[in-house]
Amino acid sequence: MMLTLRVGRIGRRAAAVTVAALAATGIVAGTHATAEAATISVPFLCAFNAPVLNASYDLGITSYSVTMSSPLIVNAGDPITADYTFAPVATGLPFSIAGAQVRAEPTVNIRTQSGPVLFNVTNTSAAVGATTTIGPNGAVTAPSPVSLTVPTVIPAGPVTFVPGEKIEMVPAQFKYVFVAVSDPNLAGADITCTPQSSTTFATRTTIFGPPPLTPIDRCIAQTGDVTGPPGCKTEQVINLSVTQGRLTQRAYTNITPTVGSTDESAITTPVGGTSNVNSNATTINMGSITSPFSPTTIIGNLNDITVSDTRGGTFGWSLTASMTGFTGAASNTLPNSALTATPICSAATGSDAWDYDAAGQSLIPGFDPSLVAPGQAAGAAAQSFGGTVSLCTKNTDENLTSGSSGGVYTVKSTLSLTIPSFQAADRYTAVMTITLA
Amino acid sequence: MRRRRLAVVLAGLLGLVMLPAISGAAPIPGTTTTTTGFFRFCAEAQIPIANIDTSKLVENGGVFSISGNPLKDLNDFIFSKSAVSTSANKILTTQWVEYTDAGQTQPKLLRCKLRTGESLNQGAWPPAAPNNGGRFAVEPVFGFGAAGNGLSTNPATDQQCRVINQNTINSVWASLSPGEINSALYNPTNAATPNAAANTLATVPDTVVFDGPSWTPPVAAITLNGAVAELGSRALIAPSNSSGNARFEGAHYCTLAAPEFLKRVILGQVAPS
Repeated sequence: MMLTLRVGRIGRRAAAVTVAALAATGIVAGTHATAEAATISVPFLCAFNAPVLNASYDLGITSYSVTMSSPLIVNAGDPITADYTFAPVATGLPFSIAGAQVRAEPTVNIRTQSGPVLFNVTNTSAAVGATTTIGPNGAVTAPSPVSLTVPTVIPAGPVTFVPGEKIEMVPAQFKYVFVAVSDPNLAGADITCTPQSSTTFATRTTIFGPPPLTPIDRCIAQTGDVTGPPGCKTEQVINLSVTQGRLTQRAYTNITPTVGSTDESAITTPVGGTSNVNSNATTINMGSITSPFSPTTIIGNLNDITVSDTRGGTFGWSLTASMTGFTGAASNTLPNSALTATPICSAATGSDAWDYDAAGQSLIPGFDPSLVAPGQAAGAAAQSFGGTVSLCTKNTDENLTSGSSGGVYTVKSTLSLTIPSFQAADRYTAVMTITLA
Repeated sequence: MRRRRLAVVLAGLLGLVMLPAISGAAPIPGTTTTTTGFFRFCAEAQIPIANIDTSKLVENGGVFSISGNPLKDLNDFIFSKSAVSTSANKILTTQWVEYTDAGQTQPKLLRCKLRTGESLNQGAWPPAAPNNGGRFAVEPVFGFGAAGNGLSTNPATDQQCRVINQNTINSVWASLSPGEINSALYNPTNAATPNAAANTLATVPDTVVFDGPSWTPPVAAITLNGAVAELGSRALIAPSNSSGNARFEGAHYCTLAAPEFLKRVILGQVAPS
């Protein structure tokens, strides 16, 4: 499933955060609603139905793209107007369909954020296309986009959305209805596309509690010699903006000893020895080993890297590493492909969410792991430094509460260095560059 | 008197017009590139194959119907199975058309997944019998149970697929113009035509296989045996309660020559294949 959001991410998220923050406290604020558009590829199953012939033609379509747009925010109680745009469907029929007039009938399921479907909305009265002849193997289309109206208050119904709630629209059954056709055998025909277990929303609209146009700044609670209800109320409009933060990486010393080598740091001649524990956040020590009879592997450790992302929108990132070849003090060499990495990448917890700005290795005060966005993935095991190594990637998945893809992540990696047989004695050094982008 | 005679004549004409409906089945389409042919070829073939009593079909006042379900994708067709819907009293057939061109304008062969006559009054599958996966799952029954009694007039013996091919020969031959008959290279009649000896177009007995992998591989629609163009069919017959794989049972599959391809062979536009 691929979801591509096209419009105004930063603005959208900032607005959403503002709305959510204010709505949660019952405070109202002014903001602007711009449309969000999303193209979503849905695993639809499409069939051409010919009821007069008691037949249904399976079109063999397994994925179908639709584009939806809806306002980022609507005032509580106001309906949401969403636009639904769709692609022509190739029929693969061997005959022409003359006199065809086609109308699209999209349906969307409505839910609050990641919740169960509450109801659905269909437009069965959209514009009908001009009369046309669809040739053999031709495609069926209809006027687009089709507008759908989603109520946010349903009288006498169970659903009333309140400020701060996010309403998600999930594409459901889609139909091309033949309103007219010359061939009586095709009377009542349609193409029905049924989603197959799709739960991905196309657009999301946040319910906004609109501020009063003229907030009340004064009132009289009681007059004369009276006490008790009803009292009186005034209003305060509170404004807030949350601006973008930054994407950072910072290394912290990993003090896990190597496996397969020893600490010979006290030796200085004829070959300087090396410790088998990393000495600081920018040094990786693979230890010392006697030139082997057969290829021998040393397991060391990349220093731990904390990636923090407070950009406050919907962004991905990647952390990659590249490395020079090893060169020795006596000019011997070892190729960079001798080293491989097996990274792990995880959302930070309360015990490893390190503060980028702290002088030392300090936990972020008040860090809440539940607000870290998911979607991080470690690179493959045993990646060779003969090329660029992927340590971790983060997709654009958002945390459902924060509404952003931000968070704090911990990246670790074991480093496997294979020493060839009879490797020349020397003290070798390479430089690894770690890129966050 | 004269008015009464006219009424009798009109009644007679009306009877003739209504004859196909009264007698039951629609004829097997003589084409697969019309709406009726494309959607109904296999569905109509179900009737002679399983000896369906057409008086029990909805169009003749009965309760049963036969649906056509062509599939565009061959793999989907392979996964699909013929079945029944007991709630809708419907026999569900599936169909796939093989074309000789990438543009899918020249049909050559049809594959039809039909039901056996014996299965139509059978009941549920054995308990826990596995179903097909996903959208190819079917109702776990062989047939309509007792409700299907008499739906096949001869449930013990299905007709061969060759009866459909013979029907295709008859309808295609009947559709030829005099000029086309004169130029035909193959001739199903007992009388020679200018370019074709008598009886040089015929059906041959079905080649029956018993499992899907044996039925699925490519097969010729028409083969040349000496001077005779022969329409054969690879058939798959899997009676109900026979093998233990209930989802494969009650199946009668046919490969059938497309009428359009047969016509092109007769006229020498393409070689039998």
